[in-house]
Amino acid sequence: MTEPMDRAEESALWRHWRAAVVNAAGEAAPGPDPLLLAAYAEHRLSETAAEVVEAWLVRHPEAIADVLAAGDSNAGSRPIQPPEAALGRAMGLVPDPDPKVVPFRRPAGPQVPVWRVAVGRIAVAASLLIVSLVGFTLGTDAYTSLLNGDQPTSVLSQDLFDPPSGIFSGFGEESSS
Amino acid sequence: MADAIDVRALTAGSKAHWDGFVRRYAGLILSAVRSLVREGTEAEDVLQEVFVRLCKDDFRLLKTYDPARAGLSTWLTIVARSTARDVQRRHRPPQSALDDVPERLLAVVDVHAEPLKLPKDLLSPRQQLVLTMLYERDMDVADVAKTLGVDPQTVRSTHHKAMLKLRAHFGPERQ
Repeated sequence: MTEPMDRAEESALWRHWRAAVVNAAGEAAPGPDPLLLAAYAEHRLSETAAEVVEAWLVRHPEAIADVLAAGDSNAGSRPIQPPEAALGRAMGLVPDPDPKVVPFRRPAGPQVPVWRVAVGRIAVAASLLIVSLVGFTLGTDAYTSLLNGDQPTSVLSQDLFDPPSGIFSGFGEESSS
Repeated sequence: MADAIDVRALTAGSKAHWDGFVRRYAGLILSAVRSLVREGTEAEDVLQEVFVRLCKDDFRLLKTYDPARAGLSTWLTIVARSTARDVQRRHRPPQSALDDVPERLLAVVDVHAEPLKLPKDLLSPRQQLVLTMLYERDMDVADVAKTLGVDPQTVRSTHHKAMLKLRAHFGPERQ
């Protein structure tokens, strides 16, 4: 566009003017919001609105690359493939309002009629009753036969109150001798 | 990339739409910040930070997006790069290039007892931006034209007129 000598001179002129006017003015207004910058990148702004963005870009030249990159974002360049872990972390930022929790249910067995259940329970109750009655009868018979004197009373009472001789009795005898 | 995302359903908190949105645009965000942060963990941290910003406070930032004003990819690229710069500022000590610091701050003794009386509206914002891109960002004319949405000849013309004004203004001072 210009000769190197001219370019150096022009660059110096611009820097001189910038230092005196742009930098000296300080920060004036807050920057444009991302949507305004995006609209600028797509050249959708009116001349007046674009001037505001351009004045801000002169003070923030680092954002010029953002505008250029944003303009290129629709160019169909191949995006980077993000790792699945990073995708999972980002997806986890929004919780599922209706989590699909499957309630635990017992596996459904064959349908048993109510009468069969009732008969089963009655049978269990009846067998318990029979066992109790038989046990009571046997105990009563044994007691009655003891009272009728099949064995001497002294033997019976000795069996009842004296502990049977066991291994400890032999051990005690050895220790005493 | 065609922007066929239902933003209304997204900001309503639809999990299915959010997951689809993340899967679709995560790659674009990583591409956008590639030149600003290191690939790998740092880029993934920025990616997460972008999505956090988008859904924070009941999707406040995402609700500001208006498809009638700009494409979603364009808007997301701006948001992503801005986020990357903020993350960089948080993690790195502040530095500024010597050229970016005003001379009055660098001078030990203020030699300009009287400030230069320069007309602030000597150059239009467009002319200033063209000179900034050419002389500070070292962009070529084609990229400047692409950024501004004009043809390269318009950029050359804008540059030429701006230089004429500067020369006319500083010419008498330099002599």
